[in-house]
Amino acid sequence: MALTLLLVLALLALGLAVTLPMFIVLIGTAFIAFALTTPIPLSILPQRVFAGLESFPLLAIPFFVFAANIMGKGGLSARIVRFIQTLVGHLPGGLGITVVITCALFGAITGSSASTIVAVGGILYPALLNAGYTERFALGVVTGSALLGMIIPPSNAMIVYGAVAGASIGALFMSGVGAGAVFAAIYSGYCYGWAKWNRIPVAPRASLREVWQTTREVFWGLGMPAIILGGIYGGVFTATEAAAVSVVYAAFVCTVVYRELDLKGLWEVCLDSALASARILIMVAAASLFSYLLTVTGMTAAIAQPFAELKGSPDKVLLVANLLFLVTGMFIDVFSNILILVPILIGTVTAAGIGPVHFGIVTSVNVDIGNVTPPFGLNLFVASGTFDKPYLAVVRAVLPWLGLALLSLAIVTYVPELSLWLPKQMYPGVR
Amino acid sequence: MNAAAAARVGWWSGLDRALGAAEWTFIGGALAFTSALLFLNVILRYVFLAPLNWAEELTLYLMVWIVFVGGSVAVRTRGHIAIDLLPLVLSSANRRRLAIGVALVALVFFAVFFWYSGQHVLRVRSIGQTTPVMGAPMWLTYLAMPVGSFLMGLRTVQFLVRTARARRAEGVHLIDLHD
Repeated sequence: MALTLLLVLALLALGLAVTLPMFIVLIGTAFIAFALTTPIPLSILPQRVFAGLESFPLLAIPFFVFAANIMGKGGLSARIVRFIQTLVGHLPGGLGITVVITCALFGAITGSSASTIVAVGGILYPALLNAGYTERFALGVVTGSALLGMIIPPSNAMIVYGAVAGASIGALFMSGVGAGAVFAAIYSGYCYGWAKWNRIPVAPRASLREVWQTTREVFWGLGMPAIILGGIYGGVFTATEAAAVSVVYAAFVCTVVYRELDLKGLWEVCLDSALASARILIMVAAASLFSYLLTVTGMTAAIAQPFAELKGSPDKVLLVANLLFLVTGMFIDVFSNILILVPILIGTVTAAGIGPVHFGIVTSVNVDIGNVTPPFGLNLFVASGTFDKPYLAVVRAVLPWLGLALLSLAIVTYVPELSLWLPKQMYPGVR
Repeated sequence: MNAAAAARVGWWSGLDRALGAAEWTFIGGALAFTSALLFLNVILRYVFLAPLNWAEELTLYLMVWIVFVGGSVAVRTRGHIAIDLLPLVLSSANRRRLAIGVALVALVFFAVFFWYSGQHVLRVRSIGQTTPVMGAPMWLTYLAMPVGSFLMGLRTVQFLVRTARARRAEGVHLIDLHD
């Protein structure tokens, strides 16, 4: 057993280090480990890969990706930026705060943080440099704030967690609002303090006329979160249907109202989104086979056992779970992280009296932070590519924001009322 | 390059382009179609009180096909999620060697996965299992796996041939991330 674990870890590390695609590393490791250490016929393994995809809730992911891409390409990100800038741009650190709040609002139409870097950072990163912010601050604030994309609902991480843990995706989405507010408040406070300290010039306040104008422009785009959350909460449709409805809504707004996309542009967005979805879901399929490997070979039980002894102390359970997620998040992606660790931890978590939604928001925030933890945080590479900066410069720039994110994570973990208040108002009995 | 070799390249690049276009059209078309289908289904349920009971199932299985055919597109565009830290510290010649080595390993993987998933398809086909709602043959949904791994393997061979021919393999380590 210990030998199997060693073999698995060695294969994972080797495969990832030599830049093999991650889904090949996960499935390949599982094949080799099954062949060498179990009598299970390899021919049943493809079925487990397939089973990882065969889940209706997971289907929400491609549609949310599609809807967010339409909105991003169809002019909504620029409109949100202008809107937020007229509201907070005149504060000290106003442009930094604009990044944070724009990421939060953009998070309400996207479920991923990588797409938030591209959509929001692409516009605001040059603006920050022009306004006299240092390159390090600018890189850090756009890469760090993009985490809000996966915390504010909809969230791809919450969809996968909900599918694995059997928790209500609607309630999970609602809990993201409070957790996102914690992040946004802490990040904005840091922008304010940093800009005061570094004497960044303050921009003039926008006129009421400008505020009205930008509000009108952004109004249609912000109808989308209303449809998503209202529809799911009102029981009008499932999260997956909400995602499909928001695709049609986004297409309508961007082609008919904003007129920034024609049918050809829409088709190109569709192609990109289908590819992005394939890329995400193939990882989900691979990770579920890997999780099966851990269960069948008894590794899940072996890892879970010392953890289970903590169940008398919920605080310790949360602490250890957080540390586990953070360490694995340094090496693997969001979806594998959830699919591999949640089945191991959920038994003890439930036994310790921690609610599935509380643990869900902690998990989602934590795996999202894994996007910016070196060495292998995905968003570090995305930011490095998007802003054409060396990888190490991105890592250095992100460090203070990583610290703030960990502080926010601690608050979300140990003050559950902040994130659970909203779902409790809507779904009685949510924990 | 002699005439025969040129003809061979022309023949292959034509097929490659046609196959690529077919894959793109399939995954884009399926995503657009399923979005519209689920939207329509919500309307049918609330306005006409008559939802299509097969809409969810069809969407689910089309999505499986999108994943595996899209997997091939991602191999062709070097778009799969990978951790590309090592190439940053390698010389361009070693980077090329690494890319070739990785492609060979991937090729073996696709061959193994093709073999086992193909066997699974044949087995399901011989049992005659059908999908729960539509009653469609279940092996058609599992077929996405061998077809996908065949296409991915084909794209990997193509990459190997291209890299072996190219003098410098600049940019092969770069991955494209837009999710």
